[in-house]
Amino acid sequence: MTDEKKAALDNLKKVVKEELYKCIRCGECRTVCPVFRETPAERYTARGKMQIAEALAEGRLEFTEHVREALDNCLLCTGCAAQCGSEARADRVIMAARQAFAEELGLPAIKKAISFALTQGNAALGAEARVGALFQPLLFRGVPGDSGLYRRFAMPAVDERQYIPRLAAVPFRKRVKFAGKAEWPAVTFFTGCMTNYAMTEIGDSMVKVFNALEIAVRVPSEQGCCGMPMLISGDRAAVRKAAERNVRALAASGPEEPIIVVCASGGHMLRHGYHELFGDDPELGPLLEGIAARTMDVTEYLAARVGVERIAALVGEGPVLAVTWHDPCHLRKAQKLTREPRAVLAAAARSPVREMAHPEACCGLGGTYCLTHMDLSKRIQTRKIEDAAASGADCIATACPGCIMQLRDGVRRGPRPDMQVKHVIQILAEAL
Amino acid sequence: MLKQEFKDRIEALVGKDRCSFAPEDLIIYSYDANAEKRAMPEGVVSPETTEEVAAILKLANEYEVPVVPRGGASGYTGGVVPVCGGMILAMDRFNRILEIDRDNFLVIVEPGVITRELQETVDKLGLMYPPDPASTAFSTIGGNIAENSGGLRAVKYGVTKNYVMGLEVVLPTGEVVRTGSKCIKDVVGYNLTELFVGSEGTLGVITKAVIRVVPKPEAVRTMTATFRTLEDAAEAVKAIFATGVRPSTLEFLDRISVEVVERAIHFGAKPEEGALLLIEVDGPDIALDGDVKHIEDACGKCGVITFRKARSDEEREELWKARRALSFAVCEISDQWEDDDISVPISRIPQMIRKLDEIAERHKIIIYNFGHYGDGNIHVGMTTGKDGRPFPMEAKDEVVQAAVSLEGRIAAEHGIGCVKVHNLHWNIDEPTLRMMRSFKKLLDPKGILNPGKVMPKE
Repeated sequence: MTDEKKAALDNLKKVVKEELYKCIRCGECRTVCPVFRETPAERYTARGKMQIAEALAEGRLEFTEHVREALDNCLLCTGCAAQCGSEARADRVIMAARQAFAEELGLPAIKKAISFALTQGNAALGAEARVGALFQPLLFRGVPGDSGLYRRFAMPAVDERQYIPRLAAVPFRKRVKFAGKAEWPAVTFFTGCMTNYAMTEIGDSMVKVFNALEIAVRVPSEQGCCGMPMLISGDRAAVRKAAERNVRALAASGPEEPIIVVCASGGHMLRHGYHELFGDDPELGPLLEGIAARTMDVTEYLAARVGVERIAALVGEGPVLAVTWHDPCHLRKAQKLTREPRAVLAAAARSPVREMAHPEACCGLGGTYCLTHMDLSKRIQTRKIEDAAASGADCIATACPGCIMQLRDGVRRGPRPDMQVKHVIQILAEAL
Repeated sequence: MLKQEFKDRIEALVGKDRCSFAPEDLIIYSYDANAEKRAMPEGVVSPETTEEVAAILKLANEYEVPVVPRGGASGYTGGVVPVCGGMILAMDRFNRILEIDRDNFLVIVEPGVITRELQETVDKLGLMYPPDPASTAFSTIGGNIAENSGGLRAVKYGVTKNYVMGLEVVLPTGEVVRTGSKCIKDVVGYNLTELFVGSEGTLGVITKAVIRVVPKPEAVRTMTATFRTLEDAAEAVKAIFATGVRPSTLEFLDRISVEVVERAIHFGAKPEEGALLLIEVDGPDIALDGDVKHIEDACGKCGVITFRKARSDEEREELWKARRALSFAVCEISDQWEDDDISVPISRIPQMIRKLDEIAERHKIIIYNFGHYGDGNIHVGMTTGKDGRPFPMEAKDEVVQAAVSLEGRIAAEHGIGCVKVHNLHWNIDEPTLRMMRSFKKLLDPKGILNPGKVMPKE
């Protein structure tokens, strides 16, 4: 057995030991699982997956592709963990099992490609993305009335109506290093990949709002991908690389300055993911504590540190926007933020939020899940879009660029193709 | 061992996607929420239609393969653990609400519907499905019917059997029968519906149910009352019932439960408070002030120490906190708990608690009690604490026997499953047991449906 294989198996045993004793197998996790809802079978429930992981750890079960299929069919929305009365973390167990599978059977090709692309150095990815931006129009055509794209030719795992965000000609972090006056208090901005390479308008909105509040925005250029895409594939080494790079980049602005994220998954990683994975890493561990404590979602910062009254005053009078709110899984279930984003949104829209049914339901993106399980992902998306459309709102607001991409894709296939999908910070910036 | 021919025929029947004999699938159908009982099935099949269920059961009869119907597998008594091997009949795909008939106050459902989903669906139409076992959010209506589940509202609204008007059932031999009807008054033939309600999947597989619902009460009021002793609380309960008010919830915590919860969440219990009642009334808003007054007066006459009323939803949550916190608060005392689910006639509760105290004393163990005072259902938690001493299992039998001696029952709402089979004769005499056995034999001549459950071996 190679060292990597043994390490991954030992890690699985450790996580199984830490989580499985909490599970009394009541099955409460089944009912909140978006995957179980579409494919009712025990192997797709958190309870079932945890039992499978335990059997793998104890050597009662072999690492086969059929077993892997069960563990791969999960969005890692963490809804099960949030629901569980004894807080058993099926997501941790599933990720540890995926790592073990990656060592035993190798990474699936599609995940390998994504992992490779995102772990390259900042400069390399920047260059690649820029080249990508140049070539993108050859492969994709514009979506009418939107900055997004549809494909031009048949491609694997991309259907003809798949919405793809247009890559920016210049990544956000190339353009913006520090925005605002030096004498203002500053925040450190962790952009996330999507904001940096594609939805740069989210970054620009962040700058506009914070500068209007006389807060400077610092954008450390050495930061990179948070590592979530590699984590869900089970590529632990790549996650460690990403974590180390980000921790070093973010530590530079000192122990006090808040780190603001506009991406729910990125926030979840900085706050919990790194610590759970590398908390006892002798080199990385000591650096993590400060990072987690400094990290705040942008809506949380605006609600708690700035105050909703001040936001409302800044927004002032103006047109009312009919908005509904989609809770990103990694914001609501992983970071327990539900009131803050709604309060900020209501102020930005000058109107109470029109709640959709099941605002907490996953959008179905799940990182690479939308590529590896396209049919199920689309079914989960369809429910979400129908609920959003029924709310009567004209705009779906959320706080995760991944969700935005998935929702924009879904809206165009749904009953209200005219609905807009925006990050809450963007709605706020537009109201100023 | 299943014959390959049998597996092939199952696969031909439902297709590759809806049956499995893979090792990981056998592992994940080997359990329910019972802590100890586990047994591996030999296969699992997920039917989608009544016809498929019938065909599967016919095949199982032909090959004499045990079949275990399974809903949410949230039970505590190993009811869906395949102790004799065979096939798991996973009913997850029967998850549709087929008809909501507002005018007649009934709903037709498939058994795999999550009970909470049924409740939420009818709630939107101003209706209520009252039974609410603690597992409502994740157990299925089919499982609830098979277990005749109870819950917190039983004191006013009864248990699952009071809401099942009719059933479609596939008998173990594969025949499909229909019991009951949509009519409230219906005396046509024998009352077969109740034969299947609570039969724990041993007499037939429920594939459809006609469920009665009621108008949703306009409002709810929540109160707690604490007393020096459980005897005082018992007097208060008597006094409350004497006023004619029927609470929709009447829960209790005994002295140890109150202490444990106080230590865990500091809800403000005083040292002298040795019993807590959580009381709710529901109905038209205008009538509830009177009900609350009656209850407050009744408690006042019986030595109440603190009487609290919720004036808002937040305060209601606050009052419920103590009851809800119990399950995690007890982890402070021990992480190894034995529990039991028994019931006694409600007037016997104080006597029962005294007997439980004696058992605790005799075996040097800790026993805490809580549960549904209003319907006599006591949940007994037992432990040796944190000193690592093995639990004296005879104490468990003594608890159940104490209930029997007070005209109580060995199981109230968690079923017999495979864990209380050997105690059945404590409640059921020989001729009655014989009659039950002959029913089982008549419906399931080869004994293939959920063997090893409910009925002890002859």
